[in-house]
Amino acid sequence: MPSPIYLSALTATSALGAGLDATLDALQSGRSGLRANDFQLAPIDTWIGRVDGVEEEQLASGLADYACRNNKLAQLGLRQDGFIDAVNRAKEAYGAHRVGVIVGTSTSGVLETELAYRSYSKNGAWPENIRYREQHNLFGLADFVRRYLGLQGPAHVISTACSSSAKVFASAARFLRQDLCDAVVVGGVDSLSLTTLYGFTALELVSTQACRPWDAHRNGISIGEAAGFALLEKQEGSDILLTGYGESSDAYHMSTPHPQGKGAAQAMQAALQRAQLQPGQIDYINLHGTGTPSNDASEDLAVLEVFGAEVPCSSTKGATGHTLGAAGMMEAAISVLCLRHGLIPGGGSTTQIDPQLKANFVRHTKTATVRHVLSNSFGFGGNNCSLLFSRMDA
Amino acid sequence: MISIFVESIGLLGPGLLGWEQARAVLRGETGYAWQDVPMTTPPILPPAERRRCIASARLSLTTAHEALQQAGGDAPRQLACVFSSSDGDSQVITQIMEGLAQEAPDVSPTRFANSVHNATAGYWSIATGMKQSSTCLSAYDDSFSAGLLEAAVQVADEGMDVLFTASDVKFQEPFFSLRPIAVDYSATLLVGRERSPSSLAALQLTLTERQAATAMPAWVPASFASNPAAHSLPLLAALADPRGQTVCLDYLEQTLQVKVTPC
Repeated sequence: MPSPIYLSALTATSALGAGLDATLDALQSGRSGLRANDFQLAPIDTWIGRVDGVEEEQLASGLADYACRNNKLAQLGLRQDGFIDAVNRAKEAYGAHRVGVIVGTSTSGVLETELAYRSYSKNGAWPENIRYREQHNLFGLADFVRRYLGLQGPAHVISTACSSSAKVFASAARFLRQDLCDAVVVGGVDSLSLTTLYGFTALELVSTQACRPWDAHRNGISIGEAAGFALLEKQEGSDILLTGYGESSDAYHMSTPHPQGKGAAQAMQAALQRAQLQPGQIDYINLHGTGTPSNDASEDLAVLEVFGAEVPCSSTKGATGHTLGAAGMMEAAISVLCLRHGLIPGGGSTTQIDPQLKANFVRHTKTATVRHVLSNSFGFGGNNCSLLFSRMDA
Repeated sequence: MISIFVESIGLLGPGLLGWEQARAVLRGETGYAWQDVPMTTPPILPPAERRRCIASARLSLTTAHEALQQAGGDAPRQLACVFSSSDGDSQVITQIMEGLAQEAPDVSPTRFANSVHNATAGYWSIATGMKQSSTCLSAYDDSFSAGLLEAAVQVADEGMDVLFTASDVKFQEPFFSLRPIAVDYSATLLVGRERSPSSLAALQLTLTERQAATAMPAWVPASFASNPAAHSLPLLAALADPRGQTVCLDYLEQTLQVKVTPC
């Protein structure tokens, strides 16, 4: 295996709760975090995966300019699971300029701009508290994370819609191997906004119920929000490795995946090839599985092409919602929990598997020997990324 | 240190209409004269996408297409792509914000699909049939140096040729007062790991402690500095210089130092 990358710290916060314990508990018990939409700014008939406590989060002193829902969610996420301590250890070992920050988001702090624009429309002037650079600009997320953690290494924000925070793992692995960093904080944060709630509704991709990936009656996504982070290092020091990743483009359509899932299959194959693993060695696939009719049908064909109909797979979006630019990171965290706890999470919201879909979709959570897990993330614009995580002792 | 080779260049900015013409200006062979950036659509876009395509994508696709043509025409060639833009498409942002500020909030589905930061990469892959990785990033004012570094790292680590485009479009009010980008500008570098008979220059990239950034050429209008992608001009001036140069680009708290050696 070519130069493995070690995952030495991990945290995830979503509608399932703050931190890994809450996430694991929900996965094991089959609890969903979705609720009927109570995000009053966008009264749409749908279900959402909302994180409790975001509004109450107070940003650290000196970072008031960064105050927006997305950065508050980022800070809430960073405070869980001893993640800050792990980053501090890396910072002391390597120096702040050798620890990078490569994170993904699709909409950064756009909610604050949406509200500010309403005020502009009424009053002809921007409100005093609007901070475009720190809140709205995509890099505002990386900038906030760097300042909050006191890091000065290489940094950028990757924004490729719903594959954003899967691709950060590939980018970080390359920066580590090319010796530009000794450690990289990767992550993904996306938060509820009017743009995504009304935008996906306009595209008729939003379900009026909790989303049901792979279900015969699936009718769209449930939009969620999440913040997740991982610390990647070259140096040995973890039970979990990033063994593979594959990136591809559909070259097909801006908002619909390739009907035969060609780009998705290419990404999965590239991840296997990099990890030097055979399809039969994968113990679980965490699907992109959004719950729209066309997405799931296309991904099913891609999985069949690469893996056949044996490998257990499921989508956890029925539990977290589709966390968009944070989905890659959120599902990477779930994949690591599966490896650590021998868990195959069921797609609990799915009641009747679509007979047209032939992949081995798991409905009920079970325990199993899990050594290698593949996680899929596919975005608008036909932007695909598959990640492969493995147990160190596999 | 990371070593890569520049195979071809595309460029579009006010008064800089393609690499051939711009190189003569950068070399001082012809004088600079301001001319607005013509909003053209690269002919490679299929008709349906041409109707939907947004200004930021038209701009960056034009220089990406120029670089591809310079490197040997339209033959299908599998390249990874890196698109770097601080702010994406200012017009789409404004239109969506207007729609959401209405009493009954409304977003056009096409506009929403166009609002993703990787819209340009989507149009590009549809237009060219390129199916390799495409990465779209932002690092605010340092988006050019961050994109160049990501592209160089991909070349060095994956051994793929990478088409790297940095672009930003100008803002109109009311967003101009929040983000005063005053000019349209896009630059593309097609870079690879091995020297080829057509290589233009070798680049050696090193991260160093902060040093003063190489200044823009003296004739460059001050408004160019407002566009993060135009921070590429000192490097492009070095690429136009038959003797080569070493340039320093601002990169967060550090400096991205690039030694340019003509081939």
